[in-house]
Amino acid sequence: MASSKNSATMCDLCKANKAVVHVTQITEVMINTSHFCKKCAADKGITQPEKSIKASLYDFLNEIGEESRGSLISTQHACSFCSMKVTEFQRTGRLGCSQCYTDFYTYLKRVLKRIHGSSLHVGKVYLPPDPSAHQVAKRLEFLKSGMSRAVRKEEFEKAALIRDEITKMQLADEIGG
Amino acid sequence: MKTLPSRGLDWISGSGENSEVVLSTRVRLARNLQGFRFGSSSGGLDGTSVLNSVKSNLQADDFGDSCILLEFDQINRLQQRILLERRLVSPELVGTEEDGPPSGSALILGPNDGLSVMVNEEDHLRIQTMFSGLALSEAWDMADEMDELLGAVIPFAYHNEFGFLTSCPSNVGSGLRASVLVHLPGLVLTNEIGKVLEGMAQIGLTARGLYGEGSDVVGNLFQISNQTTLGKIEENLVDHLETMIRRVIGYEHEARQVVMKDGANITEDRVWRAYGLLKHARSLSFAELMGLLSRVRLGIGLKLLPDIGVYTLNKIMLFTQKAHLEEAAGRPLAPAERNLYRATYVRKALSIKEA
Repeated sequence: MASSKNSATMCDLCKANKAVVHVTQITEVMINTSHFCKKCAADKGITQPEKSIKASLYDFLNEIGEESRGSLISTQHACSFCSMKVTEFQRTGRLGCSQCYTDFYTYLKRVLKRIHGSSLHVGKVYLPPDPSAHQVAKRLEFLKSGMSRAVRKEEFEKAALIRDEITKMQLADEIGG
Repeated sequence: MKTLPSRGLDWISGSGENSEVVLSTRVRLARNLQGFRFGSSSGGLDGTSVLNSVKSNLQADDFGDSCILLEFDQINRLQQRILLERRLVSPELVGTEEDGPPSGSALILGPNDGLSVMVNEEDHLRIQTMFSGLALSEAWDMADEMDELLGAVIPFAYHNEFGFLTSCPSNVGSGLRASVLVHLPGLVLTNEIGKVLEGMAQIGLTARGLYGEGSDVVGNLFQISNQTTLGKIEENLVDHLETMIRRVIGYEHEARQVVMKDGANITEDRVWRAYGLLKHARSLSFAELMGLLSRVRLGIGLKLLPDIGVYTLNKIMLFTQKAHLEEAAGRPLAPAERNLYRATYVRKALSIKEA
């Protein structure tokens, strides 16, 4: 990826123009920086990196707000639990409560995708104090995949701990169900 | 007024892996309770109810007995600032001098030294672990374990698709931020640091100053952490950071070799001068101290200074911060006076030989 800044370095390719695009490549063994002028960079297909998440959060929240006006949700729509409006979120970057994620689902899904490059959680599956059968099943599925991961990484102690947890959950499920 | 337990000090031992470059490793998990408004947007409206709910759930469970709860309205301002300087709490939890901490602010100290939970920060709970040196999987395991214990008694806000829900969408999913505090004087001296930081940003990592978000880089110390929290398994987030940190450590060692090859005499002179200043100065500002400590730390890494180890430097760094000095003095100190106390502390610390 590339970034641009002021520098007196000349372009590595044409050696005629001032380099404005600096590309840093990090590989297993080395760090290498190349310098290009605007034209050569464009020829090579090097594009500017996106602004940092923090700096662009405000911009893109508003941008998504524009797109969603009238279509996805109304920006004046308020959360059914905390009464926060989307416009308020666009100003502060903070949500009001967990219900906001349900009430502004479509909008937030896009926000999450923009920030993280994904909107689907694949990590820990939470088991609440009083779980439903579905939640127990999801948790078991997650634990089993964790156990195979541990075995693959030859972390046998960890795998055994997860196995015990699975057995415990299955027993509790049999007794409870 | 409660006395503060002497916690959050284990990391300074300098005993962990790669301690010549890595000062400490931290992992935090952001969690929220079901049925309450998030911290920052409610202006702390639900803070007291959140704290009461956490308290009653913990008290009902045996596990709660092994924890210590520090409620911010039961400790004084100086004690709150000491917790901040030990990096056990964030500036947000301590609040501004005008407004003070948000309502219901508290810190839970877990059964182990490196384990704590902030209550009523931006998120209701921030589980955090801290280790000396590079210890990412240990830090993650301990945080994970605490998360399991708390989540089993306190209902967390969780979404089937989005995962753990947080006040800021940038923490949603795993709620996991793993960070490593590294000392990179070699890369700074050889002007390679810009490239490394740029490269970090491209692979989803961020670099910040000593006190986290928005803080300046002092003493060549950088805090490197994962940027995104959603769409990856926690262990993979941690592993990715670890791989990259090991690479950075490798670059730093190479840079230090270059520094020694190109200017051994100059480097040695700079290290010993810094050591001399620390040993004899009568007044030291925090900024000057951090610069000198960085040179001496580099000297230890290059084995130029035989009689001193990173433990002494970490101890100096921690105990010469404002609140720690004021606590030792037993009264508030004006800036000029603080510099005198700081220099005295440093001279004393350096006169003790490390075992």
